[in-house]
Amino acid sequence: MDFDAFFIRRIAFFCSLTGLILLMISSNFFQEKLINLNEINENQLNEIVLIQGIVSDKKINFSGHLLFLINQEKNKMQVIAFNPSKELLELIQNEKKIKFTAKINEYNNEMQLILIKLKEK
Amino acid sequence: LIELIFWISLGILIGSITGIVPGIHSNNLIALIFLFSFFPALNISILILSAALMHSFADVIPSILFGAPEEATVFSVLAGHKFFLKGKGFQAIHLTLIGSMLAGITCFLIAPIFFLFLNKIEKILPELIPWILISVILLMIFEKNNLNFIKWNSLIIGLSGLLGIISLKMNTDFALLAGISGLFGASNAVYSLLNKPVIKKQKIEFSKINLIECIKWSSLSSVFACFTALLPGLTAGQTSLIAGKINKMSKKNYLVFVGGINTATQLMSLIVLFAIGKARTGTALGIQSLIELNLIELIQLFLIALIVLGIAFILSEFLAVKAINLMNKINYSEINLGVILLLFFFSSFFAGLNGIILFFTATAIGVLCNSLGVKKSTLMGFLLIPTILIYLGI
Repeated sequence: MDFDAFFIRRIAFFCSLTGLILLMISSNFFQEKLINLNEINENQLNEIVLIQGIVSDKKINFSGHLLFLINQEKNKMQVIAFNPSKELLELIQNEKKIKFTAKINEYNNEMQLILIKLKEK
Repeated sequence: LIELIFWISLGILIGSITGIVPGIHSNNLIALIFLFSFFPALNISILILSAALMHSFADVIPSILFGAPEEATVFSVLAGHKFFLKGKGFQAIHLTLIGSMLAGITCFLIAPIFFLFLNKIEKILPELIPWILISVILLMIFEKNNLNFIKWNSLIIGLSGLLGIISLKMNTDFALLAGISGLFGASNAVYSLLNKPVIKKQKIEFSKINLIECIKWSSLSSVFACFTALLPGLTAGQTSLIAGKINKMSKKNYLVFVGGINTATQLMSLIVLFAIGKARTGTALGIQSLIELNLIELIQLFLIALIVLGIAFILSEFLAVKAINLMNKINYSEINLGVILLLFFFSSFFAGLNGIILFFTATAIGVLCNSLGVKKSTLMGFLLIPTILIYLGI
């Protein structure tokens, strides 16, 4: 049986759109996925991830940026928040559990997170 | 010496199998570490390197003959398919094998220069890469001053790009496998089943080659491989696309180039690992987890690579002849059906339910691309758009 190009085109277009919609639903496309610190590697540089953990070693460096460690069981990673607002400085406290989105970065050959937005305070 | 021969031979055997079977990426060879973890680390490193190099030679065989590519061989399918339709599939394979071998050899000359400039390139290029990739996309869309051309190219880039973004979000390496298999492999097979093109019997004839041209293009592929080996997210397929847009190459030369880039990337990733301690390929990642690569070991691995390059070339040629003889006995429609089933199996096995949906969607987009008469390279939006977003930090 031979198929005409226009028919194939329409079917293919319909299947493409349906597939994309199904994929968005099945892969929770619009929902950010929580990442464990031990899953982060150099190949994910610049990726935006959602992290949950406990704050420790909070400090402000000489440039006024906020630095702290985020801890998940045995893993920890440094997080930096550039020019933090007063509200952010109050919300991030040692021993507090927080959830935030961050960009994966590398600084002095160490993996680091750049805080983008605090999700759960 | 016997021990060395054993590990090289085993690596070549494993690389031949993973290369010939469609759908297995060379990065999966890292699993060898776990299988052979009780042997000395340097021996396993030799095994991984030999397997990866052999894989980079043998994987063009299913790509060109069965249209079943992996990311690094996408462009050998696109360029090689035209040869295949004329019954010259073997010539296309032979050209890519020449490219692989010569690029591997030229790596020995380029590697010291790359080592010297590596730090500077690493600092400058990440800033430029997204803009280079955006230029490539714009070039693909506006290549012809024709409204229909622009419209259909934009549609295919948009759909494949969206698919790429979704598969990135799926957070599994196997999403890439399912996407590439559908876009470039299964879609060709489905379209062929629907249209039944006339395929000439495959002849085993060597292509007339111009050695100077081959050396020129394989050397260029080694240079481009430096970027692929250094920059995360930049793949051999993308680099081939960029090179194809920058340089005007004949189809023969392009096959030499595409063959070379895959092999050279494996070797250049060792230089990157040695110089800055970063693993950008599965091979480098495997070796990094086994040994702290020093200069002596790097030289040893490069010398072993030289042996493997020669054997891999001869063995791949032999495998290609066997595959073509087998292929000539089977009906082309049956081959296409077999390719679809095999790629479907791998996608579903490794990537689960989402992999199946991704595979079908990618196949549909690939078929749409075929039916619109849009160049298949446009489907590279699947990799280009997510990479641009990553580099721009969006």
